[in-house]
Amino acid sequence: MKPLVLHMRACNFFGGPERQIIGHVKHSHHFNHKILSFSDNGRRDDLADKCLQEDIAFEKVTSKSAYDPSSVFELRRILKDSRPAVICSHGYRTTILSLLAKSGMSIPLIVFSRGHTGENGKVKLFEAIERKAIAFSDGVVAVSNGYADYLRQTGVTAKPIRVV
Amino acid sequence: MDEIWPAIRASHKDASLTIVGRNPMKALAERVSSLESVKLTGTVDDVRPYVEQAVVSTKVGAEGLEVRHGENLLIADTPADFAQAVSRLFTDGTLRASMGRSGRQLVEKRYQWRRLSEKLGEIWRDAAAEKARLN
Repeated sequence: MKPLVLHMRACNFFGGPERQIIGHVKHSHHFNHKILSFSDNGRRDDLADKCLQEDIAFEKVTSKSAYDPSSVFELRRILKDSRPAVICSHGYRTTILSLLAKSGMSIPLIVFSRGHTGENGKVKLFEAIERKAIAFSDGVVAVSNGYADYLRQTGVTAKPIRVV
Repeated sequence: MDEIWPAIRASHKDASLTIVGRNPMKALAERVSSLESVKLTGTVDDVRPYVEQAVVSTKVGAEGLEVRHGENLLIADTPADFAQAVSRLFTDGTLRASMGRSGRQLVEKRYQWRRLSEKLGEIWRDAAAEKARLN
Protein backbone atom coordinates (compact mmCIF):
# COMPACT_ATOMS: atom_id res chain seq x y z
CA MET A 1 0.00 0.00 0.00
CA LYS A 2 1.27 3.46 -0.86
CA PRO A 3 2.09 5.83 2.01
CA LEU A 4 -0.47 8.55 2.65
CA VAL A 5 0.41 12.24 2.40
CA LEU A 6 -2.06 14.49 4.19
CA HIS A 7 -2.14 18.03 2.76
CA MET A 8 -3.66 20.73 4.92
CA ARG A 9 -4.81 24.18 3.89
CA ALA A 10 -7.00 26.79 5.55
CA CYS A 11 -8.15 29.27 2.94
CA ASN A 12 -11.59 29.68 1.45
CA PHE A 13 -10.13 31.01 -1.82
CA PHE A 14 -8.72 28.86 -4.65
CA GLY A 15 -5.43 30.47 -5.67
CA GLY A 16 -1.80 29.59 -6.39
CA PRO A 17 -1.08 27.42 -3.33
CA GLU A 18 -4.32 25.51 -3.82
CA ARG A 19 -3.46 24.88 -7.49
CA GLN A 20 -0.04 23.59 -6.41
CA ILE A 21 -1.57 21.23 -3.84
CA ILE A 22 -3.87 19.79 -6.50
CA GLY A 23 -0.88 19.52 -8.85
CA HIS A 24 1.16 17.60 -6.27
CA VAL A 25 -1.73 15.27 -5.62
CA LYS A 26 -2.32 14.55 -9.30
CA HIS A 27 1.32 14.02 -10.19
CA SER A 28 2.90 12.27 -7.19
CA HIS A 29 1.82 8.76 -8.08
CA HIS A 30 4.00 6.94 -5.55
CA PHE A 31 1.84 8.22 -2.71
CA ASN A 32 -1.78 8.27 -1.75
CA HIS A 33 -3.03 11.75 -0.96
CA LYS A 34 -5.78 13.32 1.03
CA ILE A 35 -6.54 17.01 1.38
CA LEU A 36 -7.91 18.51 4.55
CA SER A 37 -9.51 21.90 4.13
CA PHE A 38 -10.42 24.05 7.08
CA SER A 39 -13.39 26.35 6.81
CA ASP A 40 -14.94 28.57 9.44
CA ASN A 41 -18.56 29.11 10.20
CA GLY A 42 -19.97 27.83 6.93
CA ARG A 43 -17.81 30.03 4.71
CA ARG A 44 -17.31 28.86 1.13
CA ASP A 45 -14.56 26.32 0.61
CA ASP A 46 -13.26 26.46 -2.95
CA LEU A 47 -10.52 23.88 -2.37
CA ALA A 48 -13.04 21.29 -1.16
CA ASP A 49 -15.25 22.08 -4.16
CA LYS A 50 -12.31 21.55 -6.49
CA CYS A 51 -11.44 18.22 -4.84
CA LEU A 52 -15.00 17.10 -5.38
CA GLN A 53 -14.84 18.10 -9.07
CA GLU A 54 -11.49 16.38 -9.59
CA ASP A 55 -12.37 13.25 -7.61
CA ILE A 56 -9.59 13.83 -5.08
CA ALA A 57 -9.90 12.44 -1.55
CA PHE A 58 -10.63 15.26 0.88
CA GLU A 59 -12.18 16.01 4.21
CA LYS A 60 -13.53 19.29 5.51
CA VAL A 61 -12.77 20.39 9.02
CA THR A 62 -15.36 22.94 10.01
CA SER A 63 -15.19 25.14 13.04
CA LYS A 64 -16.96 28.15 14.49
CA SER A 65 -13.94 30.37 13.97
CA ALA A 66 -10.20 30.26 13.24
CA TYR A 67 -9.61 30.15 16.98
CA ASP A 68 -12.06 27.34 17.74
CA PRO A 69 -10.08 24.70 19.69
CA SER A 70 -12.44 21.95 18.50
CA SER A 71 -10.57 21.87 15.17
CA VAL A 72 -7.46 20.61 17.02
CA PHE A 73 -9.44 17.67 18.43
CA GLU A 74 -11.09 17.03 15.08
CA LEU A 75 -7.72 17.02 13.36
CA ARG A 76 -6.30 14.69 16.01
CA ARG A 77 -9.16 12.27 15.34
CA ILE A 78 -8.46 12.40 11.60
CA LEU A 79 -4.75 11.76 12.17
CA LYS A 80 -5.52 8.76 14.36
CA ASP A 81 -7.96 7.35 11.81
CA SER A 82 -5.97 7.95 8.64
CA ARG A 83 -2.42 7.40 9.99
CA PRO A 84 -0.63 9.47 7.34
CA ALA A 85 3.06 8.87 6.58
CA VAL A 86 3.58 12.63 6.29
CA ILE A 87 1.59 15.78 7.01
CA CYS A 88 2.13 18.69 4.63
CA SER A 89 1.04 22.03 5.99
CA HIS A 90 0.38 24.83 3.51
CA GLY A 91 -0.05 27.92 5.67
CA TYR A 92 0.56 29.24 9.16
CA ARG A 93 -2.79 28.22 10.61
CA THR A 94 -2.49 24.57 9.59
CA THR A 95 1.14 24.47 10.79
CA ILE A 96 0.10 25.55 14.26
CA LEU A 97 -2.95 23.26 14.28
CA SER A 98 -0.87 20.28 13.10
CA LEU A 99 1.73 20.73 15.80
CA LEU A 100 -0.97 20.82 18.47
CA ALA A 101 -2.99 17.93 17.03
CA LYS A 102 -0.14 15.52 16.34
CA SER A 103 1.36 15.89 19.80
CA GLY A 104 2.67 12.52 20.95
CA MET A 105 2.17 10.96 17.50
CA SER A 106 5.07 9.87 15.36
CA ILE A 107 4.00 11.65 12.18
CA PRO A 108 6.46 13.97 10.44
CA LEU A 109 5.28 17.47 9.57
CA ILE A 110 6.61 19.20 6.47
CA VAL A 111 5.83 22.89 6.21
CA PHE A 112 5.45 24.47 2.78
CA SER A 113 6.51 28.09 3.07
CA ARG A 114 5.69 30.27 0.09
CA GLY A 115 6.42 33.67 1.52
CA HIS A 116 5.30 35.90 4.33
CA THR A 117 3.17 38.81 3.23
CA GLY A 118 2.76 40.69 6.52
CA GLU A 119 -0.27 42.30 4.93
CA ASN A 120 -1.72 43.38 8.27
CA GLY A 121 -1.00 43.17 11.99
CA LYS A 122 -2.85 39.90 12.51
CA VAL A 123 -1.08 38.18 9.62
CA LYS A 124 2.29 39.53 10.79
CA LEU A 125 1.69 38.08 14.24
CA PHE A 126 0.69 34.66 12.93
CA GLU A 127 3.60 34.61 10.49
CA ALA A 128 5.97 35.36 13.37
CA ILE A 129 4.39 32.53 15.37
CA GLU A 130 4.74 30.22 12.39
CA ARG A 131 8.45 31.00 12.10
CA LYS A 132 8.83 29.90 15.71
CA ALA A 133 6.55 26.89 15.22
CA ILE A 134 8.54 25.68 12.19
CA ALA A 135 11.35 24.82 14.61
CA PHE A 136 9.14 21.97 15.84
CA SER A 137 8.40 20.66 12.35
CA ASP A 138 10.40 17.99 10.55
CA GLY A 139 11.34 20.05 7.52
CA VAL A 140 10.53 23.07 5.44
CA VAL A 141 9.92 23.32 1.71
CA ALA A 142 10.76 26.80 0.43
CA VAL A 143 9.97 28.10 -3.01
CA SER A 144 13.35 29.66 -3.74
CA ASN A 145 16.91 29.84 -2.46
CA GLY A 146 16.39 33.50 -1.64
CA TYR A 147 13.34 32.72 0.44
CA ALA A 148 15.18 29.85 2.17
CA ASP A 149 17.91 32.36 3.11
CA TYR A 150 15.26 34.76 4.41
CA LEU A 151 13.80 32.00 6.60
CA ARG A 152 17.25 31.20 8.00
CA GLN A 153 17.88 34.89 8.69
CA THR A 154 14.59 35.18 10.55
CA GLY A 155 15.44 32.34 12.90
CA VAL A 156 14.27 29.22 11.08
CA THR A 157 17.51 27.32 11.54
CA ALA A 158 16.60 24.19 13.46
CA LYS A 159 15.17 22.19 10.57
CA PRO A 160 16.31 21.31 7.08
CA ILE A 161 15.04 23.74 4.47
CA ARG A 162 14.69 22.19 1.03
CA VAL A 163 14.05 24.25 -2.07
CA VAL A 164 11.77 23.05 -4.84
CA MET B 1 3.57 53.58 -10.21
CA ASP B 2 5.64 56.54 -9.16
CA GLU B 3 8.80 56.01 -11.15
CA ILE B 4 8.61 53.17 -13.68
CA TRP B 5 5.18 53.71 -15.15
CA PRO B 6 5.60 57.45 -15.88
CA ALA B 7 8.95 56.70 -17.53
CA ILE B 8 7.36 54.07 -19.78
CA ARG B 9 4.43 56.33 -20.65
CA ALA B 10 6.80 59.14 -21.52
CA SER B 11 8.08 57.16 -24.49
CA HIS B 12 5.02 54.97 -25.18
CA LYS B 13 1.90 57.10 -24.89
CA ASP B 14 -0.48 54.22 -25.74
CA ALA B 15 0.95 51.80 -23.21
CA SER B 16 -1.43 50.32 -20.67
CA LEU B 17 -0.68 48.61 -17.40
CA THR B 18 -2.64 45.69 -15.93
CA ILE B 19 -1.99 44.75 -12.31
CA VAL B 20 -3.13 41.20 -11.59
CA GLY B 21 -3.62 39.57 -8.20
CA ARG B 22 -6.08 39.15 -5.41
CA ASN B 23 -6.58 41.52 -2.51
CA PRO B 24 -4.81 44.58 -3.91
CA MET B 25 -3.95 47.13 -1.27
CA LYS B 26 -6.57 49.82 -0.75
CA ALA B 27 -4.04 52.57 -1.35
CA LEU B 28 -3.15 51.02 -4.72
CA ALA B 29 -6.79 50.65 -5.73
CA GLU B 30 -7.44 54.31 -4.90
CA ARG B 31 -4.35 55.40 -6.72
CA VAL B 32 -5.23 53.45 -9.85
CA SER B 33 -8.90 54.43 -9.94
CA SER B 34 -8.09 57.84 -11.41
CA LEU B 35 -5.74 56.50 -14.10
CA GLU B 36 -7.28 55.47 -17.39
CA SER B 37 -4.16 53.68 -18.54
CA VAL B 38 -3.99 51.39 -15.51
CA LYS B 39 -6.29 48.46 -14.78
CA LEU B 40 -6.44 46.52 -11.54
CA THR B 41 -8.00 43.10 -12.03
CA GLY B 42 -8.14 41.80 -8.47
CA THR B 43 -8.84 38.08 -8.41
CA VAL B 44 -8.75 36.28 -11.76
CA ASP B 45 -9.84 32.70 -12.48
CA ASP B 46 -6.74 31.91 -14.48
CA VAL B 47 -3.56 33.96 -14.45
CA ARG B 48 -2.05 32.33 -17.55
CA PRO B 49 -3.51 34.68 -20.18
CA TYR B 50 -1.78 37.54 -18.38
CA VAL B 51 1.65 35.95 -18.14
CA GLU B 52 2.13 34.34 -21.54
CA GLN B 53 4.38 37.21 -22.53
CA ALA B 54 8.02 38.25 -22.50
CA VAL B 55 9.03 39.00 -18.91
CA VAL B 56 10.87 41.82 -17.16
CA SER B 57 11.62 41.10 -13.51
CA THR B 58 13.77 42.24 -10.65
CA LYS B 59 16.41 39.83 -9.33
CA VAL B 60 14.18 39.13 -6.32
CA GLY B 61 11.21 38.41 -8.57
CA ALA B 62 13.20 35.79 -10.46
CA GLU B 63 14.83 34.27 -7.40
CA GLY B 64 15.18 30.52 -7.43
CA LEU B 65 14.42 30.24 -11.13
CA GLU B 66 17.08 29.00 -13.53
CA VAL B 67 16.66 31.95 -15.87
CA ARG B 68 19.24 33.87 -17.85
CA HIS B 69 19.05 37.60 -18.34
CA GLY B 70 18.70 38.40 -22.03
CA GLU B 71 17.72 34.86 -22.92
CA ASN B 72 14.60 33.91 -20.94
CA LEU B 73 13.75 37.32 -19.52
CA LEU B 74 15.18 40.77 -18.77
CA ILE B 75 16.36 41.51 -15.23
CA ALA B 76 16.22 45.12 -14.06
CA ASP B 77 16.68 46.30 -10.50
CA THR B 78 16.34 50.06 -10.73
CA PRO B 79 13.28 52.00 -11.88
CA ALA B 80 15.22 53.48 -14.81
CA ASP B 81 16.52 50.08 -15.91
CA PHE B 82 13.08 48.53 -15.53
CA ALA B 83 11.43 51.19 -17.69
CA GLN B 84 14.20 50.86 -20.26
CA ALA B 85 13.80 47.07 -20.39
CA VAL B 86 10.05 47.32 -20.92
CA SER B 87 10.58 49.94 -23.65
CA ARG B 88 13.12 47.67 -25.31
CA LEU B 89 10.57 44.87 -25.51
CA PHE B 90 7.91 47.25 -26.82
CA THR B 91 10.10 48.35 -29.68
CA ASP B 92 11.87 45.10 -30.53
CA GLY B 93 9.21 42.63 -31.65
CA THR B 94 11.77 39.95 -32.54
CA LEU B 95 13.33 40.05 -29.09
CA ARG B 96 9.89 40.07 -27.49
CA ALA B 97 8.79 36.99 -29.43
CA SER B 98 12.02 35.03 -28.89
CA MET B 99 12.09 35.85 -25.19
CA GLY B 100 8.48 34.83 -24.71
CA ARG B 101 9.18 31.55 -26.53
CA SER B 102 12.40 30.88 -24.65
CA GLY B 103 10.78 31.59 -21.27
CA ARG B 104 7.96 29.22 -22.08
CA GLN B 105 10.39 26.48 -23.18
CA LEU B 106 12.38 26.85 -19.98
CA VAL B 107 9.28 26.47 -17.83
CA GLU B 108 8.13 23.43 -19.80
CA LYS B 109 11.57 21.83 -19.53
CA ARG B 110 12.55 22.67 -15.96
CA TYR B 111 9.36 23.17 -14.04
CA GLN B 112 7.22 20.23 -14.98
CA TRP B 113 5.01 18.64 -12.36
CA ARG B 114 6.86 15.35 -12.82
CA ARG B 115 10.22 16.86 -11.77
CA LEU B 116 8.66 18.70 -8.86
CA SER B 117 6.89 15.54 -7.74
CA GLU B 118 10.14 13.60 -7.76
CA LYS B 119 11.76 16.21 -5.49
CA LEU B 120 8.79 16.27 -3.14
CA GLY B 121 8.61 12.48 -3.04
CA GLU B 122 12.22 12.42 -1.90
CA ILE B 123 11.47 14.99 0.82
CA TRP B 124 8.45 13.05 2.07
CA ARG B 125 10.33 9.74 2.08
CA ASP B 126 13.31 11.29 3.92
CA ALA B 127 11.03 12.85 6.55
CA ALA B 128 9.20 9.57 7.17
CA ALA B 129 12.46 7.60 7.33
CA GLU B 130 14.04 10.09 9.74
CA LYS B 131 11.00 10.00 12.00
CA ALA B 132 11.05 6.20 11.99
CA ARG B 133 14.75 6.22 12.80
CA LEU B 134 14.24 8.53 15.79
CA ASN B 135 11.50 6.33 17.18
